[in-house]
Amino acid sequence: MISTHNKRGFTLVEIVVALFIMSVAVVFATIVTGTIKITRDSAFENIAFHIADNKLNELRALGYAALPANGPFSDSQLTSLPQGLASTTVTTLNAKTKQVATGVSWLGAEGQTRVVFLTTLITESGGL
Amino acid sequence: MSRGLTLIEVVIVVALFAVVMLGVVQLYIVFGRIITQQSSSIDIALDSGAIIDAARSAGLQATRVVAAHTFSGVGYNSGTTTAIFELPSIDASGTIIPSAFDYISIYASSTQVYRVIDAAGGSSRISGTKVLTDVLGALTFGYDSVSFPAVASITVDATTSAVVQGQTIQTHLRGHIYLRNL
Repeated sequence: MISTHNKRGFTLVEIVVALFIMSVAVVFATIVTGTIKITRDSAFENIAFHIADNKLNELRALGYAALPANGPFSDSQLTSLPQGLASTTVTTLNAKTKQVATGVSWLGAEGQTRVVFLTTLITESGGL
Repeated sequence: MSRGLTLIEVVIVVALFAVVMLGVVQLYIVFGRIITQQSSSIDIALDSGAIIDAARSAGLQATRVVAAHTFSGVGYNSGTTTAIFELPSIDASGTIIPSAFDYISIYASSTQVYRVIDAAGGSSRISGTKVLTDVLGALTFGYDSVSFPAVASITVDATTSAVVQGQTIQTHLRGHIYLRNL
């Protein structure tokens, strides 16, 4: 075997092809792991949203006079969330109206804290 | 000077190509499995939410829960897997039609959950049946009173589950619904 020129190492084309194949694999792997995280987070978000929704409806049903002070509340579904915490925030808008927000936070897939908030107004004469 | 490839070079190229393709096919299979699993878990999460949301939207508009109602010839009874809501009928302009009622039932039947609507004449709601999920694990309605007309709040426990590649995945959601008659 006699080569026309002295070959040492890889040619540019070979490197480009090898890089292409490896980058395709890396891109696929990134997409898949990203999907897993997004799915996990959206499942948690769904639970968090329903916890906040349940509490908001409870506060609306119980009425203006029974509105609690700001603070955490408990819910049996909070244990399904990693580091799940829930709280209500009541702000007085005027003499007969209060703004109520229920928030649920949990530890997201990326390690950051995720929050879901729902807000409504409850009036002295209103209710469900 | 031009020459072709030797036999040994061709054999090496074919072997390398086969190894690379094997890897690619393997990746394809593994990713395909993961994606199937992910889409199933999204489906069951959405479906459990759909059950709670349907029950809440019916309950929020309902004046009371009724013990029994006949939907297009088939009788239903409220209980642990069936809830029947009585809603004031609303016409197309959003006005309540006096002493006319629509009935909405949410019930489980094996792995399905259905919502059936029986609308009174002139109501803007449309009678019909809708499948809320076909991957139900368990559905339980809990009432705050044993007498259905006196019920003011309902808890709904919905569990949806699916078997993906021999593995069971499930989600559970609980909704606490307060009726308007409170």
